[in-house]
Amino acid sequence: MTHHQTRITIRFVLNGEPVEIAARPDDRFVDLLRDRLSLPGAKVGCGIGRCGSCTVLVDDVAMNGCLLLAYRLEGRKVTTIEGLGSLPEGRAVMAAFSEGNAFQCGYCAPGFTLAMTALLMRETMPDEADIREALGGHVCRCTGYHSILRAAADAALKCGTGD
Amino acid sequence: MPLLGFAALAQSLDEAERPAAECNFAFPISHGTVEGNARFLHCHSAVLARVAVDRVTGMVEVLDLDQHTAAGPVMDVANYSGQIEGGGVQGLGFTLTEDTLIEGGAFTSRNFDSYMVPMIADAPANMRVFAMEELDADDPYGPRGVGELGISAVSPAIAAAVADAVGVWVAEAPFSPEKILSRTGGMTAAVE
Ligand code: FES
Ligand code: FES
Repeated sequence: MTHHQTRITIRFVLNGEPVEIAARPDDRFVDLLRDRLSLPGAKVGCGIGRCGSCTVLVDDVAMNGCLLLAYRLEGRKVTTIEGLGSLPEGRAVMAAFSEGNAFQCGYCAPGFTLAMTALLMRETMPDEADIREALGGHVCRCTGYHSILRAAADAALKCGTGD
Repeated sequence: MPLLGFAALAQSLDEAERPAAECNFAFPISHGTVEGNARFLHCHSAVLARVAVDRVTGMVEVLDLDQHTAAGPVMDVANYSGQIEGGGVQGLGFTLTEDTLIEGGAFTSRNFDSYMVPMIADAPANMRVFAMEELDADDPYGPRGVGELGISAVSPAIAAAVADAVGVWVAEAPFSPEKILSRTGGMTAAVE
């Protein structure tokens, strides 16, 4: 793999704030967040796009931060778990997940929370099949997924009724 | 970085104010034999699995998983069901797909592309968790912790369901499609 040594300036909106950062075009976005922007909410579980723990929203679409190269961020709007409270869907998901004790160790929680938020932003009344599909790329070692599925259904309900 | 180490955290309190706890527990252990009712030490859960085995590919899918545990009173329902359900799907992974392969002393399964942890699509459609909260009068060990308890009886439950479905007992996990097909000699699609 060639490693670009030249840094470029990348401008994007991060959790509502404009950011300008000098980075190598092929820096992994999740590393920029964790190491340079003091946002450790996105985790690196696998680094190869298999676990979803590094998920961020890019223009309201859930993406793997470990597969996202820095140059792709130019001009985009990024929401991380730290900024999720600014979205009504994000607040509904966080409330439902915490009230429903959806998680145990929580390592997977930011990823599931962002993926579920992205689903509710594009689909107002998702059914169980929609939820299973939207959360299908996320590994959780602890819960067996059913507590997450129950709380996700609750989040959809909360959102639907504007709770 | 808005991070605080444990040492710094501890130093922020005066010694007298630091929380401390002490406890003692003699874990019952057995060396192969148990006096009295062995269930009190070894077996306090029952698991029922319903599976579908694909006759052509040999793939096993767990459709339903019912787990019943007799560990004493449940103190926290969310924690309890979390341990049992989470253990259930972890046990499912150990039984069907998870394998740490070692070659020349080094692991060859190094990440989630070769070590296959169950994901939502692999989780059973239905899981039911029960609790028998009353303890037997002569139970010498009293209430039990259920941490990870959900894992242990899942493999035998799936093995029994597979045996019931295709007539072979697979005794070594994971039950890979290859193992199922070689043990059954390959199967053909059911005639309607
Ligand atoms: S760390 Fe990105 S998908 Fe696992
Ligand atoms: S709660 Fe531990 S990995 Fe999901």
